[in-house]
Amino acid sequence: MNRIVLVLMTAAFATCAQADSLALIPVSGAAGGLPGTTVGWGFTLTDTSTSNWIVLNDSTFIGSPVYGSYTDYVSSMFYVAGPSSTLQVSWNKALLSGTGEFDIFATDPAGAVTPGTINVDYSVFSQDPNSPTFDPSSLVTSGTFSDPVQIEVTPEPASWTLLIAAALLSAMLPGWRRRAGYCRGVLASCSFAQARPGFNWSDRAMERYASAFRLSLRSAMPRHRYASARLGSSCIALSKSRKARSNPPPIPGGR
Amino acid sequence: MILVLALLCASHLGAQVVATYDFEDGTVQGWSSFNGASTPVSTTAAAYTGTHSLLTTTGATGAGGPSILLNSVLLPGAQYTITGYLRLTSGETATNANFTIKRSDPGCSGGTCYDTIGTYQVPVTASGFAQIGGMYTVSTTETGLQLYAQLVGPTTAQSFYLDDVVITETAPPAGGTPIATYTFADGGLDGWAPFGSVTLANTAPPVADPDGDHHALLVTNRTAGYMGPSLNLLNVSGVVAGATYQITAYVLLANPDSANPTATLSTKLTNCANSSGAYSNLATSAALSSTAWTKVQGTLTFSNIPGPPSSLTFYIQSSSATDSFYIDDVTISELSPPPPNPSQQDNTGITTTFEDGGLDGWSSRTGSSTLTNTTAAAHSGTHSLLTTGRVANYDGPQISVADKMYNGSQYSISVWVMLLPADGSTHVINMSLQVTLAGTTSYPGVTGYPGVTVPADGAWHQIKVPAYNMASSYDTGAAHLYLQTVPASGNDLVSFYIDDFQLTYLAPPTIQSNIPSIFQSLSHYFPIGAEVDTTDLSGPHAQLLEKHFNSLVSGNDMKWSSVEATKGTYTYGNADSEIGLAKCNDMQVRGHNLVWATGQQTPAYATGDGTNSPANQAVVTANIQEHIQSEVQHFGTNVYVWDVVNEPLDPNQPDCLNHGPFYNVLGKSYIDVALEAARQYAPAGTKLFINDYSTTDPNRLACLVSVVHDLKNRGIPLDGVGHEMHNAINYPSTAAIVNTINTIAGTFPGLEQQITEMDLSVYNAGNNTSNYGANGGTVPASVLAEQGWLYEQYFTALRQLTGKLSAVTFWGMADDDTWLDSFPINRLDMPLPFDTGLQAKPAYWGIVDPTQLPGFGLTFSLTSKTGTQNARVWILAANNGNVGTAYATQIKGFTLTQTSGAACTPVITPPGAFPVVLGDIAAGGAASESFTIDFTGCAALARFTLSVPWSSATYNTGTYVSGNQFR
Repeated sequence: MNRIVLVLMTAAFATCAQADSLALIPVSGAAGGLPGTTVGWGFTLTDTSTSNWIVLNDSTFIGSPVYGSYTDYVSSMFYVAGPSSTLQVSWNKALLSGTGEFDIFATDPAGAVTPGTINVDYSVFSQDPNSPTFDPSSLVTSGTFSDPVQIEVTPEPASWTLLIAAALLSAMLPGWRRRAGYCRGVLASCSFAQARPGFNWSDRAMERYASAFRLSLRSAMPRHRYASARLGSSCIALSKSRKARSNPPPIPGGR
Repeated sequence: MILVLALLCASHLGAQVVATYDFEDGTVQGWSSFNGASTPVSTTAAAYTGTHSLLTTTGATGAGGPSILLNSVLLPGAQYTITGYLRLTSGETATNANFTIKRSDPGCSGGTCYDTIGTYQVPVTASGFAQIGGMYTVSTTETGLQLYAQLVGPTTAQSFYLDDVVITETAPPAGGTPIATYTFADGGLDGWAPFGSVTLANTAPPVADPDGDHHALLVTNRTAGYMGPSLNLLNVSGVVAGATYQITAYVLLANPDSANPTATLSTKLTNCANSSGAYSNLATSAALSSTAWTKVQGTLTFSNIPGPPSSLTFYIQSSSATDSFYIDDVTISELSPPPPNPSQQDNTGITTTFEDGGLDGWSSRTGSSTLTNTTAAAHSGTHSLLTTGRVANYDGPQISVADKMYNGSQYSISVWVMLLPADGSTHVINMSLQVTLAGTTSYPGVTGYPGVTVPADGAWHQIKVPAYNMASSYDTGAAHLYLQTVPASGNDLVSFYIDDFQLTYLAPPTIQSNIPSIFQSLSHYFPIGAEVDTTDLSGPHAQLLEKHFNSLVSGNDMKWSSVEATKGTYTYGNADSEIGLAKCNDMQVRGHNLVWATGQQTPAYATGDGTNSPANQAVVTANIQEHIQSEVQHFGTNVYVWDVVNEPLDPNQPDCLNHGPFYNVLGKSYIDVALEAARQYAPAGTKLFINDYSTTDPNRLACLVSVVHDLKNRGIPLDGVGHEMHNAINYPSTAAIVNTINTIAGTFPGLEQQITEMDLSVYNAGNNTSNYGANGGTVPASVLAEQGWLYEQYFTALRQLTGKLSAVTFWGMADDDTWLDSFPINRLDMPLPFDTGLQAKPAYWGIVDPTQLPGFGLTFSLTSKTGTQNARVWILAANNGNVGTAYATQIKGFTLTQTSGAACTPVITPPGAFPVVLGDIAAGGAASESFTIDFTGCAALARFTLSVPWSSATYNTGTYVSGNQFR
């Protein structure tokens, strides 16, 4: 039994001991909506370092402008992931939470597909950017997370289909809510496995501080988010690339 | 019996090999002994080419040789070259030889002639093959032809080899090469069938028929003039599209008819554009007789445009509805073949610089003038060609272009000309072709008539025709290009120099088959149309049209001056052809236009005497009504929308209307007359539009609203408005276009709108002087990229106007044919989605797929922050994607907005004045700039949002916004 646990923990650690990452929610990047509606993406930001903080700066969409336009949320929010932590943010248009929104043009044809990429720029600091003693010169590096996305324009359902769908939806809503609540309570093994090897009371203190600060931020500044080692629980999409650009050399002939 | 005569290669140009004897198969290939010679044998003892030849020994007196019958090979009246190679066997004494034809002919003394082929007595030896033979024209009265090779001189038997005998037809018989002849000699109908409810019977005519076989086809039980015998030409082997045929028939009345009826050769053709059939009359005979056969002869040509015929029926009708008649000896002959396959042509062109001191193939056209290679002047090098002693205007230098220029191909032709100051001020030099086909000579102009005015100033002037479409077939060798003078009157016999003549074959462009169709890409939004003319109905232009567009509009062929230049005389041929293409490809057709307010392309009679007298008002009203009735009824449901009145607006007039010739007669009621006539006569459902330009200008838009209001308020029928959209690369803005469409849609719900003549000049609006094409230049790639991004802006906006916009039509398809090459001045413009080679431009990608535009994927980011608090250096980088160069990239601003921390005011020092230019960034490349910021007074926790508006290729724009930036 102990041997099995050890193997699982080792495997989880091996899987999660990766570079910092940002995975979209949904992980596939696929989104779909009716003409004239808005879709968007949440994200899971994973800071695998033990001493650095990741601050998100902005997001951009690289793709055809034919079927819609993208609006960035990130630059207007304050998303920070602390050392060895995961920050998970759901997309919410009203709260402007997530990476951003894609507004599908009302005139788009059903079935139209827009492939593209969402780039999220970030900065890495060796100090906590929320700490009163934070020094901006603690900037370690900056870079861009890139995730593929695909937006599909879905067909307008016929009115009777809408009615049936609405009835089915109301019938299923309580169960859906229960399942959603259950899902929110699930702890991923990644955080657990990642935290254990380096666990100490200092980490625990930081976690408490961060959680408390997060709560205060939520009440005072609802558009800010903060995460620390125990916040969030996903190690999905660990393979997402991060294009580090720490102190790049001057670009010859750039002008 | 169907006698198919010499079904020769149908795709020949003029010369075609009709027989070859190389003996390589080891047989004698039909050759036999003639006049006492030994029986020929195939041998490998010697050969001119390959391994075999024909070995023969003359008779004991040296006479005779190998021979072959050519009755079924050579056509009466046709011209041939007959050549072969002859060598004596080893040890034989040198002598002479030639080909001879023994001709049986009533015209010859004793019924037989002996015709020497080419040179008589060609020296031959045993040491090598010598060519014998030459030109030969076959007698039209011959009854038998036997070709033989003979030695001339020997008196004893001699042996010789003969090899590689080739017979080439160099000119068909007068009247063409027979394809099929119908004599009815076998007692059958020879494939003829009733056209209408008639009875056909093979019977002996009461008068001896022309070929004397006593058989003819009798047509009886006729009840209408069109009824007669018919033949499905698509079943006649050798009848192909693009060729020209002569059809000859003989007709005899079965009974006398004092009404002197005639016979007419006619065809009925059906294809995808016309399933009910198009009828044509080829020729009508003189009055028919019941005592003598009457010959009737006409020419036939047909094409595969807009689609191949599904049926092509030839029939013979009569002006009498009931007379019975005989037909006989119907002959179909090919006068000229269809254009050859370009890949099988000699496409090397001609270059003559005269630097070798010779005439380089040029000669005097008349033989009277003198051509001299001279060093007195030269455009390049040291030599040129001087023509002096001209005896007529048409006298000048000529050069053979036979087998260099081919029917159906396109050429660039250039020559430099110089006249001396002593010869007056200017002379008009004309460049033309002289071609002869089947005995008929024609002179197609190359420069156009009269020609090019050349100053007599001692300087060289280029006469250049960049793209000449060769449209003539010719007999072998019968094509020359020449230069002559064309004075306003009298003779101009001036001497002139020419140099550096260049004839260049222009390979037809090939359209890209692996790119998305424009109309399919936009099928959800609106139809996509193109303006066309008749040059777009075949070849790669038609392919481009069919692939990318599902609507068309005729550029000129439906305008008043085109269809009814003379009152009551209608010319619909070109427009019908364009509609035919549309029908064959399921395209919609816009009708453009019925009345042009400004009087452009409108015949003078349309506005009568131009006055507003009551009498003239009645005349002009009637003219408009008659013209519209005729035109809309002719095109019927083939046209779904008409620009009934074109360009009626003038914002400089108090009533917003152009005070053109129609207005001057009828006032604004001319619009009413036109729209009401169109409504009265056009098929139900046809949309009626007014169409105008620059409707994005606020004053013109206001006028459009005003005029439409007026028409609507008065109950004048109007279904929509057309916005021409002849735009420039800097005008109008996309927002202005959207505003125009929304304004009309909001003001007149239900009124249709279309963009009708869209193009996008590469020059700024109002620029009437620049020319990228000057000095051999072209439009820079950066400008084409800019144009592509503007098209992207336009179409991203237009897609979102779906429901308010029912069609978008381009004024053309490709830059090889645009009106902007001559408006507002003659210059190179490239306003359309495809370039001059019919290849997709950035403009195309901007419409169809912006991710393929140069500079797509250009992004900005902060790459580093260094330095002290009072002099922080932020480096902003632009990273280009991998599609193409991001031209003229620039940073247009750099601002910081504080979002957290105690308020402070950073001071930004940009690297230079805005816009900060990053320039052209290659695909996959990057460029960066440093911005110095003094953060004095800003706390460490102060955060900012950086905002950097940028642009590339003018219309590729964005704002880089990055939050949570600490100093």
